[in-house]
This record gives sequence, C-alpha cells and structure tokens, in this order.
Amino acid sequence: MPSYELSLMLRVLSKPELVSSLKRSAETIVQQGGVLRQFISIGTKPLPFKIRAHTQWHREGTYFLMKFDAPSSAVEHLNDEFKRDIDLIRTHVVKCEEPVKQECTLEEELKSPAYRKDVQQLVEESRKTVRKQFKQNSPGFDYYPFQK
Amino acid sequence: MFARSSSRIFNVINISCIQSRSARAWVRKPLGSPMAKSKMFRIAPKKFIPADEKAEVKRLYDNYFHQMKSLRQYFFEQSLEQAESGEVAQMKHRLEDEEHIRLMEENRQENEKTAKLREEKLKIQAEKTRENILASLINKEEETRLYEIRIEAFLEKQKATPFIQAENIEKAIEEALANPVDFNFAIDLDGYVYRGRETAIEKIPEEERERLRSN
Repeated sequence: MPSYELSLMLRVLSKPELVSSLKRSAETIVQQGGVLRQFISIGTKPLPFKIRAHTQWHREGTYFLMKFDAPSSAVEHLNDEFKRDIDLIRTHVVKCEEPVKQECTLEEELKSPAYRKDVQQLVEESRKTVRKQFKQNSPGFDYYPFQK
Repeated sequence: MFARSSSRIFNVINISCIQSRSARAWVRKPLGSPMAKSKMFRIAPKKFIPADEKAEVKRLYDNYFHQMKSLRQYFFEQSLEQAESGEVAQMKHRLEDEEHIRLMEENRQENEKTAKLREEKLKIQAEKTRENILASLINKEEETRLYEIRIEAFLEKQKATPFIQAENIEKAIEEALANPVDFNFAIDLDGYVYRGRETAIEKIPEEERERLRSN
C-alpha cells in the first residue's frame, strides 16, 4: 500500500466538535482499508484568502495533517467523502514518496570555472584529442612561388 | 513619315534586301489587317461534280485500295513464312533454345547455392533466437525473484512501522491537538536554523541554536 498524506482545512470549531470531526475523517480512512500512521496539528490560522465552502464564507481555519497507508483505489472514495463533509473547507490527498538523496555540491559550483573539477577534466580531455593541423609548405616547393 | 502599308514594305526590305538584293521576299499579311477591298464582295463559285462521275471515281479508288491491301497482305504472310522456315530463322531458334537451357541451368545452380547459404543462416539464426529466449526467461525469473524480495522487504517495513489503532484514534487526535507543530523556519548566513514562524532570534541563547550540518 502506498503512503499518503491528507491535509485538512477545517472550519473553526469548539474542541469536542473538532475532535469528533477529525475522528470521522480518520474512520473513513480506516473503513477504506487504510492504516493510520501519524496525526499532526498545525493550529488555527487566518486563511490566505477568504474561501467559500458549503454556502459559507471562511476567513479562519484549522489545519491538520494525517499520514496513512491505503490502497490507491481508496483515494477517489476518500476525496468524495471529504467533499461532502460540511466541517471541511478544503482537503488534499498527496502521495508520499521517499525523498531523493542528493549530495550538496554548491561549494564546488560556486568556485570559478578554472578550479572546478569537471571543467579541469574537460580541459584534460580536449588536450588528449589530436587535432588535424595545416601543414606549412605542403606541396614542398624548394622555391618561393610568389613574388617577393 | 511612313504610311502604314509602306512601313510594312520598308521593314521587309530592311531585312531581306541585304541577303537577296533583288526582289523583295514574300511576306505574310499582318494579323488584323482587313480583307483586300477588291476581294470584299467576291463570291467564289462552288465546286460541282456530277453524281455518276463521283461514283466512277469512288469505284476506281476502291478498286485500287483493295488491290493494294491484298498485295500487302500477301507479301506480309510470305515474309512471315520465310522467317519461320528459313535456315537463318531455324539457326536463330536453335541458338535461342540453347541459350534458354544454359540460363535455366545457371539459375538452378544459383538457386541451390543460395538455398544452402540460407539454410546455414537460418540455422544460426534459430540457434541465436533460442539462446535469446532462454536468456530472457532466466532474466525474467531473476527479475521476479528480486521483485518479490523487494515487495517482502517493503511489506515488512510497513508492518514494522508503528500505526494508530482504531480504538486509539480519539486519544491520538487529542494528543496531536495538544502539541501543534510549526514547519516554518529561517536560516541565517552562518547556517543557524530558527524553527517556528514567530520565533524571536534574540531570545534564543547562542549555545542552544540549531546549526545545519555541513559536509
């Protein structure tokens, strides 16, 4: 089962209501064969812009994250469920992928080209290749053919 | 200076007098010039041949035509006969037959040669494809084995990671709500990291500051 992250934006509720609402969303995930991994609360904050959801304008919302594993076929159903929940302003399910491991090469990149290793390698390689050079006096006259 | 008609003559003279030097050459009437005034109302008499004379001319012509045709046919047939039965023709036929037999023999030999080559080539090809198929089968088996191992490892990893049980959901939610997380952070030029959106930098003592790991 792939890992997903569900980000929820709820309308401002009292604490027991908020807990019951979140529990409802969590249970829908479990019903779809999901496994809950982690809950993260980000808190109540003003929204970046006013949002209309379920015939109401919202200027403030509670942000919440749920990390879970679920079969990929469940995601569509989850989205459908959350769309109809009137406590939720917006939801988004994202697939979590393992971060790509990359080495930081900024220090090397900030050097001037002459000191960079890859540039030095290129220069070396270019020196190895033998270029065709024009031969002076190629027909080999033993006199100068033009007027002096 | 010149009238229209005279200019025409002048032009012709200009061209022809140098070569001929005597009389001027015949020249066509220019396009669009009208019919001569003297011929304007002249009606040419219609040619008339009496019917019996016409019939006679036709009979003579037909006779001549049929005779010539039969003669031509006769000569043509004769020439054909000669071409078939003449000595030269027979020689030619014989040579052609010989050439045909020779070419057929050559063709047969060439066919045999190519068949032999083809057989060898096909044999090598078949062997190669057999090897390829075997290799791909082995490869596939190996791949499936590795895939299964990978899946098993993944499942084990998933089983090993902790999860929230259905009866603990409420408790976990309350716990999370009690400890809100702020993912915002800032970095300064010295590589120090300040967690939180509204953290005052001055309030954190320098010993407790978090620093980015440098390689």
